[in-house]
Amino acid sequence: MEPLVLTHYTLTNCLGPGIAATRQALHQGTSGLRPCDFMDIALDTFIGRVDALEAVEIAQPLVAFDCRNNRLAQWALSQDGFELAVRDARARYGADRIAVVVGTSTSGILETELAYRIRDVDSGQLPSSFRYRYTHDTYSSAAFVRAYLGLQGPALAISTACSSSAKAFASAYRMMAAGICDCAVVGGVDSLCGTTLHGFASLELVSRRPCRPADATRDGISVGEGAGFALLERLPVGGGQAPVALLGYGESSDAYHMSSPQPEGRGAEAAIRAALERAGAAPGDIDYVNLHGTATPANDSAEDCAMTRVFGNATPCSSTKGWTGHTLGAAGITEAIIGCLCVVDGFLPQSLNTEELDPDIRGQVLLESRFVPVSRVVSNSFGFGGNNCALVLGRAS
Amino acid sequence: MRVFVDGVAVNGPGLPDWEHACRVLSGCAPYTAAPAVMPAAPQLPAGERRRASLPIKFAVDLAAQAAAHAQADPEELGVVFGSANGDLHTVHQICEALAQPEREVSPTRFHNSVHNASAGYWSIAVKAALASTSVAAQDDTFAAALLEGVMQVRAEGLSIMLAAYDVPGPPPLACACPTLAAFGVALVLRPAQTRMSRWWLEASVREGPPVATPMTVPELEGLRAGVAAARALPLLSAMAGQKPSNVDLAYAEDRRLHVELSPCA
Repeated sequence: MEPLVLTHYTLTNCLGPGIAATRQALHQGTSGLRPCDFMDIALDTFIGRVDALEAVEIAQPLVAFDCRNNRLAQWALSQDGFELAVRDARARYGADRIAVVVGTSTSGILETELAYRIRDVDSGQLPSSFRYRYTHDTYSSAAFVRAYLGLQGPALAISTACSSSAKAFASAYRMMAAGICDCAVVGGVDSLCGTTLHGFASLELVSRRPCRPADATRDGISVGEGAGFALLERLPVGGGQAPVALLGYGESSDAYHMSSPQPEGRGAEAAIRAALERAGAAPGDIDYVNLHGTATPANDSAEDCAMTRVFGNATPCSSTKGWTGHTLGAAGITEAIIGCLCVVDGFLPQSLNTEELDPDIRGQVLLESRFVPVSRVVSNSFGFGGNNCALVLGRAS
Repeated sequence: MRVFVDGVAVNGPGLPDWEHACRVLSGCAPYTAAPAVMPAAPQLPAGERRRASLPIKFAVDLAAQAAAHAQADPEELGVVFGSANGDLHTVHQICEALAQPEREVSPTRFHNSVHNASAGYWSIAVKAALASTSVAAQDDTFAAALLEGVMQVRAEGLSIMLAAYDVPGPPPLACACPTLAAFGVALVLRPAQTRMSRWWLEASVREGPPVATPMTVPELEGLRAGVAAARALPLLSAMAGQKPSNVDLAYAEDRRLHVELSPCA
C-alpha cells in the first residue's frame, strides 16, 4: 500500500502530558502505574491515571462536551504543537479535506455512571445537567476533536474495544485511498471509569500488582487511561517530527469468544500476516513487535503462539503496558506512537515489570531495553469480541 | 465508488421483514404501524444466545436474514456494524449496579457493553474471521457505516456484511438519549456483480448543505427522523422502487452522502 506519513503526533497518558514524558519514562524504565486512587473506587489494583485532568478546562464554546474523556482528548491535543500542525494542515488542504477518525471503547460513560448515582428518588430521572449526546455518546469524542480542531471533513468513531484506535488507521487509510479526504487526524481516547475497572475485576482480569506482561506469574491487567493523535499525510510537507509512516495494517476476527482470545492466537496471526502483506514486508524485515501484551495469562500466551508462528523466536518484542497500563480504546494509538519513537530513537523498550519470563513463552521478549537501529515495527492490538488489528510502521523511504 | 447489493434485510415498526417492507416502501401496500418484532436469534449458539442482550439478537438476526437473502456464505464476508448508541440496556444495568454500594458488575454484561458486542457475537455465530468493525456517528451512523462498508469493498476487494441498528434504551436513559423505535437494516455488499446481485450503488461524499431525502409517508418520515438507523429508509425505498434513483443521506454533520442506485440488469 501507499505509505502514509505520521507527520505529527502527540501522546498523553499516566507517564505525563506530551511525547517527551512517554519518551523519558521509556528510556529511564519508570512506570506510570500506581495503587488505585481513582475517585472512590475501592479496588485492590494498580491503575494508570492521568494527573491534572480534574483541572483541565474544556475550551469555552465546546463546554457542553465537558467530561473526563473529552478533557483527556483536549489535554493530548494541546501538547507537542499538534494543534498548530493541524492549523497548518487546514491552511494547506482546507478544513473540509481533513478527516477525523477516533477510536474509543467507553467514551464518556463515567458521566452516565455519576448521573445514575444522583437519580431523582421519586421519578428515577437522571439530573437535568446530564448531557448524554456530548459526553457518553460513542461519537462524542470524534465530534469534540473535530470541533476543537476546526475540521469539516469526513468523521467517524470506531468502537471495537481495545483495538479501536489501531483500526482508526485502517479506516483513515481507506478514506484517503477513496479520495474523500487528503489527510486525516487519527487517534483514540479512553478514560478511567467504574465500568471498566469493576468490569475487568468481575472477569478476574485485573492484577493486584503493576501488570507483568509475559511473566510466569502474571495475573492480569492494570487499567490505564490515555489519548493520542497523529496527522496522517501522503507526503511530509513542512517538516514533521519524524519520518515514520504507516506501511501496513491487518484486521481479523477470532470468531471464538467474546472475552477470551482464541488460545492458539489464530486471529492475531491472521491480522499480523495481513499487515505484513499489505506493507510488502517479510517477517524478517521487522525489527521489533510491540505486543498487545495485556499481562493476562490467556492473552500473552495466545499472542506468543501467533508471534512464534509468524516470526519464529528471533524478533525482539515486548509489551509497554507495564509503563502505561492498558489504555483500552487508546491502546492502539498509544502503542503505534511508541512504535514511532522506537524508530526515531533507535530504541527497543524492555518488558517492564517482567521479573521471571514465562518459560512457555517462546518469543524473544526483551527483558532489558536497548538502543539499536530500528527501521520497521509491528504493533498488535486485540479487543473483546475477538477483534484484532496489527499495524506496520517504519521509515517512509 | 460502485458496489453491488446482493441481499437486504430490514426490521422495524410495521416493517417486519424485507418482503413486507418492499411492498410498503414501493407503495403497493399501506403502512401500518406495529411494534418491531424482537427476534430470538436462533443463529447464535445456545450459550451465546443465553448471554446475548436484546440489541445483540436484533443485529445478529438482521445480518442472518441479509446473508440468506443474498445466498451468501457469512464466513466469507467482512463485517461493518453501525449503531448510534449500541446497547443502552446493558449500559443501564451496569450504571445501575455501579450506583449501588456493592458495585457488582456482571462479567457477561461487561463484555456485552462494548460497542462491537453485536459484531462479535455475529462473528462467533457464523465463524466470520475476516475484518470486523463497529462504528458510530450519531444521526449519521447509517451513512458513515455504509461509506465504511463501500470503502472496504473497494479498498480491500472484500464482500461486506453491513448492518445498522438502534434499539431504544430503558428509562431513564431513554429520555437522555431518545430513540423512537427499534429499527435495523442489513445489506450484503459485493465488489463485483454476482448472479444474486439485485442492485448496484455508487456512493460519493458531497458538499453541504446536508439536505437528506425525506420519506413521503408521514409515519415513515417520523420513523426516519426518530431513529438513526432508520435514516436508511430513503435508500430502502429506492431499492423497493426497482428503478434508477438518487438518494442523499446526511453525513459528517455538514455534508451529505450521495447514493446513486439502480437495479442490476
